Amino acid sequence: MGESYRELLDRLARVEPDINLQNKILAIIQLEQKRQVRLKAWGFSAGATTALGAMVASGIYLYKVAIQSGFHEYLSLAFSGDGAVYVYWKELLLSLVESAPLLGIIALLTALTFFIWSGANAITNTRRSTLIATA
Amino acid sequence: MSDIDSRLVEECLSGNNGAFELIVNRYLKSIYNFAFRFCNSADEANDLTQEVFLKVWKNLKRFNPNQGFKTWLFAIARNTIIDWLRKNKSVAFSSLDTEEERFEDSLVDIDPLPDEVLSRKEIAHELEKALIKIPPHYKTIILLHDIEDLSFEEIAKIVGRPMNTVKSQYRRSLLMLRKYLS
Repeated sequence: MGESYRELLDRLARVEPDINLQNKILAIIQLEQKRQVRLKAWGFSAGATTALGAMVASGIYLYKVAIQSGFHEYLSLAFSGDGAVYVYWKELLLSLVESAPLLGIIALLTALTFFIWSGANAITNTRRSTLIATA
Repeated sequence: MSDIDSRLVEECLSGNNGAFELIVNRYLKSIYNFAFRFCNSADEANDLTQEVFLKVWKNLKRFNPNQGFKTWLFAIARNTIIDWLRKNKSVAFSSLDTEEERFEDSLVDIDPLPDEVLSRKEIAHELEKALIKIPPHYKTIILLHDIEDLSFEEIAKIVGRPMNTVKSQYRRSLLMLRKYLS
């Protein structure tokens, strides 16, 4: 269908783009890349700072709960080297598990994981941002 | 998707910026010319081309390798141009999208162009003028089919319409072209 039209359209002159257009496009993309990397670096840094705050808060909470529940005493006893510990180790282990401040431990570990993850990403993106800036 | 395109996209996604440079190099003229036919201004075509490639770069992760790269690229170009036309001109591009196909249009046989038309000295210039008069949706189909050598199936994916509708619209666009040239 329409072979003569195709022949006609072949005569349509191809317009040549500006010789700098390709460089302009690549420069715009580099700028956008830089913007995205900086944004990520800022975002992850803010995340890491928040996680650090959460770690301190959950650490204080964990300490208080560990003292209140008696976990602290059981733990001290476990490391005291007393001979009774070896004899009654099952009872001591049970007491440790029962008095363990699980919520505090989970909160601290979550904050720690988030801190490591966002900290690592913040460092990676800051490095990438520096590399792009010097490229 | 051609092997080269597929390899270049994979390399881009693995962080090789040089691969994107090659993609730009491969399709720059095609996209620029496609954009130019709608805006008829070198500056606007430059801006549109830049916008198209920036969108391609931003959305490369969303590209489905089962879809042809060229088809995906021209779909982005078409959408960018539609947005530009809506912003800058009061062209009712959307009204063309919802236009009902007339049954009799699909039955019309297209006569080949008379030799006299093809042999005119100023035919390239006349053709440019005629293309300006053709509504954007029809122009898209002519340009993609006859300049970019895309199949009706690929064009149907780009414009998001059934293949038979695209074929019918292609016929209508050739009829318009013939009318404006005669």
